[in-house]
Amino acid sequence: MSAPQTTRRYSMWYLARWVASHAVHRWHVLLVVLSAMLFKVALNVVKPWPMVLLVDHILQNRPLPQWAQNFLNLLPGEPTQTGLIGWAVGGTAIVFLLGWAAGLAEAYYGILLGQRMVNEVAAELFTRLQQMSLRYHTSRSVADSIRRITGDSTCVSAIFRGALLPALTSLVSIGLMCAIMVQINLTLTLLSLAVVPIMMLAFRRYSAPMMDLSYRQSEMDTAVFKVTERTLTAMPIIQGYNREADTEKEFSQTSQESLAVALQLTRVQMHFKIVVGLATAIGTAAILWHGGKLGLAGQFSVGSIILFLSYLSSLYSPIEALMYMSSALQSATGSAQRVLEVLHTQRDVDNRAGAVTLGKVQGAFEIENVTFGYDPARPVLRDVTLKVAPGETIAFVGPTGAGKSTLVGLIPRFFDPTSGAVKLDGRDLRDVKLDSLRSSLSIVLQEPFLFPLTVAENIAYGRPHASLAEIEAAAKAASAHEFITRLPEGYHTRIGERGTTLSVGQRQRLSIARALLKDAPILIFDEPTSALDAETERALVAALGPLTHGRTTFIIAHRLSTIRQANRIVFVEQGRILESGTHEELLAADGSYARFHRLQFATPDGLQKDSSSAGA
Amino acid sequence: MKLVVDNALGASPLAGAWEKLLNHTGMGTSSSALLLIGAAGSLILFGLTKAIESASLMRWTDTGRTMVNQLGQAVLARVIRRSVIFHSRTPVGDLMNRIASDTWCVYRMVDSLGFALLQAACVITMMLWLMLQLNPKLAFIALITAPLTVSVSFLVGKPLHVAARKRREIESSIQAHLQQAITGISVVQAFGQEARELMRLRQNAEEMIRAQQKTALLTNLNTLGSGLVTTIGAGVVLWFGSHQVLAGSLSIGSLLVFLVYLTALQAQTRAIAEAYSNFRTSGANADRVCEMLDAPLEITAPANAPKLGETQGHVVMENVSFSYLPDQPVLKDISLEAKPGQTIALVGSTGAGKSTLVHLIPRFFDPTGGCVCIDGHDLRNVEVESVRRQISLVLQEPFLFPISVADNIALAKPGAARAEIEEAARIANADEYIRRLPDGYDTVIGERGNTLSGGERQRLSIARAVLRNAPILILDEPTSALDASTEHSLFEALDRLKAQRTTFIIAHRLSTVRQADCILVLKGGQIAERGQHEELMQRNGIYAQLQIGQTGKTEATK
Repeated sequence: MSAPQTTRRYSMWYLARWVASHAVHRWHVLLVVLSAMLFKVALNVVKPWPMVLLVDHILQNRPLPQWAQNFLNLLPGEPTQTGLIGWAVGGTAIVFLLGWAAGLAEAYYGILLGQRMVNEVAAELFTRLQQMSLRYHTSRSVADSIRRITGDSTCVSAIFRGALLPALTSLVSIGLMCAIMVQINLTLTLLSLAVVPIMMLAFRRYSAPMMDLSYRQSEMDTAVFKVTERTLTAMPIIQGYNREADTEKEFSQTSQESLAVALQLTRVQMHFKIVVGLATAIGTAAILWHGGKLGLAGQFSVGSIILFLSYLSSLYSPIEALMYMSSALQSATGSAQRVLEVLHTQRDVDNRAGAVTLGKVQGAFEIENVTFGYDPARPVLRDVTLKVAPGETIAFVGPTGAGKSTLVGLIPRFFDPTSGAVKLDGRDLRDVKLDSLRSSLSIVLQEPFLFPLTVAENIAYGRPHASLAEIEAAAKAASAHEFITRLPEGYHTRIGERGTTLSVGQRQRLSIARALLKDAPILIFDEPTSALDAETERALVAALGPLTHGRTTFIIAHRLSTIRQANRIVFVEQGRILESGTHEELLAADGSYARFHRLQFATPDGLQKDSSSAGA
Repeated sequence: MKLVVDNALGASPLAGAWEKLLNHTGMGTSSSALLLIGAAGSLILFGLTKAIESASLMRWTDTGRTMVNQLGQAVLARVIRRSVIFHSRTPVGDLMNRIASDTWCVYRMVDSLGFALLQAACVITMMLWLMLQLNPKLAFIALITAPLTVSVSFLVGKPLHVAARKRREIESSIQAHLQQAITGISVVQAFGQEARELMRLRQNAEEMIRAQQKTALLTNLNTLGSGLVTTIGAGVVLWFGSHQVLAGSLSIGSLLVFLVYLTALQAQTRAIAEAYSNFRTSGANADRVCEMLDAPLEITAPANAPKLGETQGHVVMENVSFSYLPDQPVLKDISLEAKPGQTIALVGSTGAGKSTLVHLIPRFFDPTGGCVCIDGHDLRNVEVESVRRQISLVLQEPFLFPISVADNIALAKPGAARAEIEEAARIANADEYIRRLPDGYDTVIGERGNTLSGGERQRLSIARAVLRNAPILILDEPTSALDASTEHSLFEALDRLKAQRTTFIIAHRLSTVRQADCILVLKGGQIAERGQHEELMQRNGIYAQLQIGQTGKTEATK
């Protein structure tokens, strides 16, 4: 089953705007980070000056430029040589300290900004995934979804803090450096800028392959996660069938594949870096040569060369950074693609425009000509039509795989019919607000899924503020109170992950209690008692009886004893409704249901007796 | 290693070239040829460094990632051999993190500690040597600050480690939470709790920010310490150096070269400080990995324990007791014998300990008292794998993998021929529906097996057991998800299978256990009744009550 595919390529420009949109509304933090970064740029401009002062003017006794002289005059202390040395030394230390403080501010608030952005994207992803239908989730691995939320979401920070912000400050820095260098020497400046076009060409050449490979890299790393997850969720089978060694082999193979992609990516990134690095090296060498010549000709002081070289590195490091950044950016964009893929997936179960909130629910259902398939080519339900009166209890019976669970799954809109419509109180479910629809349903699902919370919290899952008394009442109705009180900490016992420290039957009863506490006008039970022993089941069914009064109830059960009291029994086979009627009617009709019923009590010694008694 | 040496080389002769250049310009007596050599030299050196750097980067990516993969594999190997109890208590998300993320610590540690440190050490030695050559007095002044740098790093080391560990724990709990929420998405949606789950994610994520900020603060303190100390060093050198220059005992060129070296030295001390931060941070991951690697395996066999060969399937339990928690026994003093080919049925209310009892046979965990034997061998004294090879399992949950149907069945017998697989599927009544799937036996099952119905999934897991063809068969409520007609046809097939095998069956529907050679009724972890159907019915105890409860309704309506 293929998941909805969206186009995987987003332009760099699009990504930049997307990322920036997550940053701008945190402008106050952004402002702090930006000023810290710009401050550092400014410090780079000031940094070489104490040295120049020292070398040219103190040690070589050249006259200071007028502005510097004026500045020095402002400083306290005697303008003696020792005093000046002191200022030069102190200046270096001050510049360092300020640089450090700016760096700290940048890191501290940068994390705040970046991580807030990441969290926002993670929350968006999680929200979207929670909105997606079960049809979407069944075709996807949990590990993949988790990776997108926890791993790939960090791309916003990587792109913003690792590329966009540095690009901005680099540009400022480059502009500033150029301006100053032009003041010192025009030819040298032009010489040093000659390498920029080479870099641009390299960028264009390597950009696309790096982006592709890093996307594949993310996919491969996720594959390793998937293997791990599916292994860990099936431990009894792995161990029971001695599959440990094979599992290890699979893990190792997957990680080998991931390694192969990583190597490819590294190679391309390296080529790129070499080209960029070579360009800067050529630039530096050219300047060294030309500048040296000027120095020899006496047009240039030693201090000026120091200054120029220092500025040169301040010019090249942002240019180089800009280039390397783009290679880091490429890996982040791989993740960004995976994030946007999810965010741009069309919600398959959505509120229609003008959807209304459900008011008081009567509970009349009309299922009209519904056809549905997880894979449209393989319909699970074919042209199903059913009318349910308010307060009726409808039992669905039929062989495994007939489509019963799918049919009841349409009611909470876990997915929408491919064609046809489901109506509640005469209104198409798609015209009703999703949350108001779901809040009027209580559901017990086939798989009694519990959360790693306490027993009480699990029961109160649908009504977080229920009192303990209400919780206990629900547990009693679900025949769960007794075993809960025997747990180490009673209602406050935490359930181990996957609820495995409880038996399936116990889990089923907790999930029934959970549904009962929700107290909704419509009840759905999907094989609620399959794992219970007969006695417990009977007690439970008896307790549930009164609770279904006045509520529209849908129940799926294999044990026919569970459903005999239903107002109507609907027999489903191969996605179609074959028969419907009361227990007695259907037995009298002697069709599929009657045959089904006989089989249930068929035992070598009891076949005759049971079927005759049932027929009586 | 070449990288290290060459980087150091790269830095030093480059500085050497400078020295020449500066000395010449300073004295103003030289040719431009030397300049050309200087410029060309630096270019060639750069090319060389890059070439070697690239080659070693490729090698390191390969070696480093292979190390990570191997470590991951080692942790996985360990984890999948832990008992089922361990797995029922440890969140999958947490284990996933340890296996697939925390293992990167080895990469980072070698990267930061091995390479960065070695490189730094080489450069520092070289710089020191050159500085001593140039001006011993200044060099000593520069050195004074070195021990201080180191001590600062060690001071923040411990808190950094703690903070990093905390951060990992939060990451892990985010992972675990998401794993739960997405696996249970149907419940989340049905109960309309999306907002609450989102809030939980947000809370965790906020905590994460605080933890990250704390590590950033500590890391920065670390660099401040070392940076400050070296800056002071440089200042002192500058101070004394300038005075020497003024006094004429030092050339300007020498002072400049000295300062260049000092800057390189500073950069390297900072690199060391950072390497140390990284090392402590990855240490937190390493802890989590080692916790797994060092934890004792619950299920082990003594070294050179004999293999269990082809057994008869004679299972004996003697005074077996078991408890998950110390004073909460789940099984108390259970003794039973299953002769080869017999069928033992376990009956009792939910939570009576039936599943726990049968899980002792494949050694998913060991009894806390008493012993379990197959063909007279205490299971604890024979090789674990060979014990499990005696057993076919059909559990409550079918556990299907997102691989093809055929591969899912063949899980029980790697390398099984297609004909064998299809035969097994036929016996399990799965063949028919499998053929209706889009690609028949080659259909890849959707993740979590959700595109098949419960019954269809369970039939695949029965097919597995059939294919396994082991002398002992464990059926743990295999049909509770199946409808009566499917169950009926399935039991026909299973009857054939059970004939030559020792079978343990747990079932709630008593109609399925009537023909058992021995029915054990469990109550509160003890065997309350045992015997065949008729005996037990005559005794009119718990079993008879249960039986009446289930079929009695029909009798009552008669």
